Amino acid sequence: MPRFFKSKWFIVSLITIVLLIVMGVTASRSSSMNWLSDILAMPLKPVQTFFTSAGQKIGDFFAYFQDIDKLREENSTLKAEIAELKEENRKYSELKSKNDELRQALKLKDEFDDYSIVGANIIAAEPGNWFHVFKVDVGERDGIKVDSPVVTASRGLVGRVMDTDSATSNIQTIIDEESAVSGWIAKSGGGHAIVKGDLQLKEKGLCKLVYIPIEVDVEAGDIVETSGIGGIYPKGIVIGKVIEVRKTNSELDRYAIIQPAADFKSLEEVFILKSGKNNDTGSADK
Amino acid sequence: MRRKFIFYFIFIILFLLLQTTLLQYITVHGVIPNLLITFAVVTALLRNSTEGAAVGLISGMCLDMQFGPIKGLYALLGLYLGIAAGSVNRRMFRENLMVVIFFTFLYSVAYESVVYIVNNIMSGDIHFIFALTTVILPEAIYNSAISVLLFPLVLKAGRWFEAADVKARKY
Repeated sequence: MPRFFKSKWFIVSLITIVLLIVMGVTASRSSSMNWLSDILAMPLKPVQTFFTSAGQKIGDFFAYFQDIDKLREENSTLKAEIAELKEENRKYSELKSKNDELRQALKLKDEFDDYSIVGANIIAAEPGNWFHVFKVDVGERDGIKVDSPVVTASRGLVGRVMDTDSATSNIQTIIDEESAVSGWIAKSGGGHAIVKGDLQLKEKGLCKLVYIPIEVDVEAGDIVETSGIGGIYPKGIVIGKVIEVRKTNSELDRYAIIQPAADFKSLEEVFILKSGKNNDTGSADK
Repeated sequence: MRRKFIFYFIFIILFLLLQTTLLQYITVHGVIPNLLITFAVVTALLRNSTEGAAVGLISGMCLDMQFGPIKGLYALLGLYLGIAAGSVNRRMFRENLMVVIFFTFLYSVAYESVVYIVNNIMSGDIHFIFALTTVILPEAIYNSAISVLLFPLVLKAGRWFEAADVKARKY
């Protein structure tokens, strides 16, 4: 009998059973096994921060030489654009002050007013080739909760907080295959559709717009925003721009390719929207 | 025993760090090699299935702790990978680079296929051929290339362990 307990197969099956139980427990969203990831996340965080910034520096260094010609060209076009924009800006600031007055009169509120914003640096990425998940250097201690929306500096949608431990959190991006966000095609006669990640488009930093209503005439150049349905993302965050509509056999089956407003290749820091109020979610977004 | 523990611990942590940070900036065709499973396979082939399974299990546990809301999946797959790869070496000539390269390729394909299928079986949205040609096969080739670098490392480590055993037997 004791020999049986020492045999390899006994140990392997024991480990298998233990791991299956752990998987079962952690699969439910409400599980409180975060301390498990804390064990490794805490000591690794500073080292990962260092390695990632080193990687970014190396990437920047090579880009420095490649970009010089491109930059010169860009510089001259940008100068022309600045002159134009200055003129437009003057007009807009007039309109804005007018708008603020009217808003105040009507007591309208911005969607983001309910949120406070936390800046975060990307310190590591999912090690495999299947997912598009990355780790940032803020966690529960900074008040980050699961499902908080994540945006870029220019308020383009990045994704949501997938899980957190005390010092770090994992962000699932909208181009991850498992991600689905309820979107709104922002134009007159627009409609709701779902923005999904796709394995084939992920490498190019693109995602897919599916379940487009038949009556909506979607075309390249249309802007897609979050719809606010589902409870994770507030309404009106820009997801991206339609760059191509692909028709399959039937009208019902068509889908569009979206260029997200966030550039996932050069992302270094993100902003997490921390909700002030406690909104619980039973949701269509996942 | 202590030497083994220190060696595997240091290299698993080092490979985990490289995998999640620097390697992300050195992708080829958008695919990165998987250092940890390559390490597990090479260890299993050159040492034995117990050590391979231990490396697979521990590095899987580290991946689970760092990423993924379901903890335990990578640990389980790593354990089986180590056992499977270790069961080869009784019938094959060990310490042959070509054997290591070939089996690293084979086991990388098997491992990543299982990961893909397990992750997508719930949604029922499986494009296996696409996944195979764009991710699994390129990754397996890179892993084979990495195994060339890990081969002398694990071989030297093996001699270092054995030297310790001989010393221990003297007393």
